[in-house]
Amino acid sequence: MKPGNKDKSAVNKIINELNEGVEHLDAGVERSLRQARAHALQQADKRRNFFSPSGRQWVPAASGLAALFLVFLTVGLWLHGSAPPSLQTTPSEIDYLDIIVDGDNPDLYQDIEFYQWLAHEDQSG
Amino acid sequence: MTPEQTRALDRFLADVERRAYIMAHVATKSREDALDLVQDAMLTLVQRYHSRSEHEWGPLFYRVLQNKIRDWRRRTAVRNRWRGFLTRWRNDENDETDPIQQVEDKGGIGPEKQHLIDQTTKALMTALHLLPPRQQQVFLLRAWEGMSVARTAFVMQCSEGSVKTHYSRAIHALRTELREYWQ
Repeated sequence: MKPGNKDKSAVNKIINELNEGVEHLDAGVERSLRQARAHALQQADKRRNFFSPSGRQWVPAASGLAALFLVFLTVGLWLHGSAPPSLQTTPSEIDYLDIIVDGDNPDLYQDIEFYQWLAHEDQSG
Repeated sequence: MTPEQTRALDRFLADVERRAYIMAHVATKSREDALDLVQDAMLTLVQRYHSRSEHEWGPLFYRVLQNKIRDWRRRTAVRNRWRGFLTRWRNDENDETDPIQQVEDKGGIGPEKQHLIDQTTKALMTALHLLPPRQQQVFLLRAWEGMSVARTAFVMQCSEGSVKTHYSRAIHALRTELREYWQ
């Protein structure tokens, strides 16, 4: 619904009143608005300075810390580092592997511990 | 943000800040709350949208402001509910508004003109305060800010049809409320 002429004139009156309100803002409000604007722009500058090339003062400090960490890590590994696990297998492990792969005479191998004990007893006795 | 952008933003904010304050004041009826909302809106615009082109700042700023006003209404509704509960409980009704703070600096206007302005402004502000929030917003954006239906819909985050309906209802409500002035 579009406002008629009467409505338009009344709306204009209201608008004039609102404009009067803008023109006659009290000094305290104007001062607060100026401060709010300055604060907003200042905050944006702070953010900009943090990330901008000229304001990246945190980069050298961060790099130094990272380098220090790497040095500590290297020294720590060097001092407490254990030898890499050996890939060499013991003969007994190979024997067991052969038994599993071949699959012949499994009973003998199942009692192998007994025969080993018997041999040991014979030697000592 | 380049120094040119900072200057452009400063100009833009200086241009809209008073009207934004009046808009927030119509919604909140509180000087301090209105100032807080405008400051928050300025901060959000500068931090999030400074890189947008200058002609986008207007709708974006008012959109942010309207969102802040909406959030303020929600917070106030919750606070009032609690306050009402506590007031009933304590049976203690304290008026928190300081009448001296409410008195505005009149500047250099004569007493007769000031009286007329006061009367009319009071009636107008009362009528605007009485409007439902969406009607209040749409009236200020369409009639006062002179925004198009499409731009108002963007700011209010609603359809253009809703904008037209709210505006029509706002005019009808104001006509009823301001019979004496509606001539």
